[in-house]
Amino acid sequence: MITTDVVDTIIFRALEALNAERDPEDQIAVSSATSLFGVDAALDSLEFVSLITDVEASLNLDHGLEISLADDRAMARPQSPYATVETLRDYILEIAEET
Amino acid sequence: MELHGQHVVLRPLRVDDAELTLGWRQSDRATLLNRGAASVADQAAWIASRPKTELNFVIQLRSGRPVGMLSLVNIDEVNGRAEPARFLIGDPDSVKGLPVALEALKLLYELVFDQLELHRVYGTVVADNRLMVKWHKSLGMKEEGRLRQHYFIAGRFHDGICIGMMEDEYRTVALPRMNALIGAAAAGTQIVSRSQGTS
Repeated sequence: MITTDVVDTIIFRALEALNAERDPEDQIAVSSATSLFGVDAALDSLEFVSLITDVEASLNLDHGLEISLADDRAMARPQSPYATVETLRDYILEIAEET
Repeated sequence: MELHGQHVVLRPLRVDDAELTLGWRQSDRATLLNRGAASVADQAAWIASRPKTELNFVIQLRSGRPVGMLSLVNIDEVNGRAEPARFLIGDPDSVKGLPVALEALKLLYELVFDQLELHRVYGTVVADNRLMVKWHKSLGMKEEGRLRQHYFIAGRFHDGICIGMMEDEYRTVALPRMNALIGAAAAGTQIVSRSQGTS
């Protein structure tokens, strides 16, 4: 069973990978409250898709979870699972439990 | 030809877009695109001379504000293929929180596979443009090869990553994934808008 801490670490690592591509003065502040997609988002579209891809890859390669974070389940939710690190983590934990 | 989505419209690039698009092409964000025109007059001449094998679009918000550009080039109906190109969000502040880039690409793919009924899209991305490579691969493109030192940009040679996607991959992989990302991202935007009393 994957834990909250593990998922947080995966998402934080993906955000750090984005920071490695950014200028030192333009770093994303990495925390559970980091806004991923929305008006106040820290990420642009390219970075957002990159983050989703890296998180999916890590869940699969490091934890054997073949999870798509971009399918009908994500679209059907009343609140976007992509709003913050916290909402994405909760969404991952929820669908990991179903897997 | 105009392509209409939920958030954006792709409308034909016009000669009077020369100043605007030149500004975008000369911004830092466009560093890893091919070198463009050097002046507004050159850009206008370039726009006016686009061949029939290309469809060049300005990405507009539904409000009419132009925010970027996207093209379909090397349209080859005999071999059923075309190349998405010149993809650039020139006004990133205006698209913050909206799945503009995602929907613009989706509209272009709908044009390719539903209207033009082509078989394949393909392209080459500068290898150092890692986010763009990952973006395309995440949205259905597959890596098909590497062209060594294929581009000379900013004083040095760069490899090119060849990517491509067939129609069946578009329908089974790319389209559901783009729909989900656009839908879920838009849901978040609507919630934020409602909480701010803007809609």
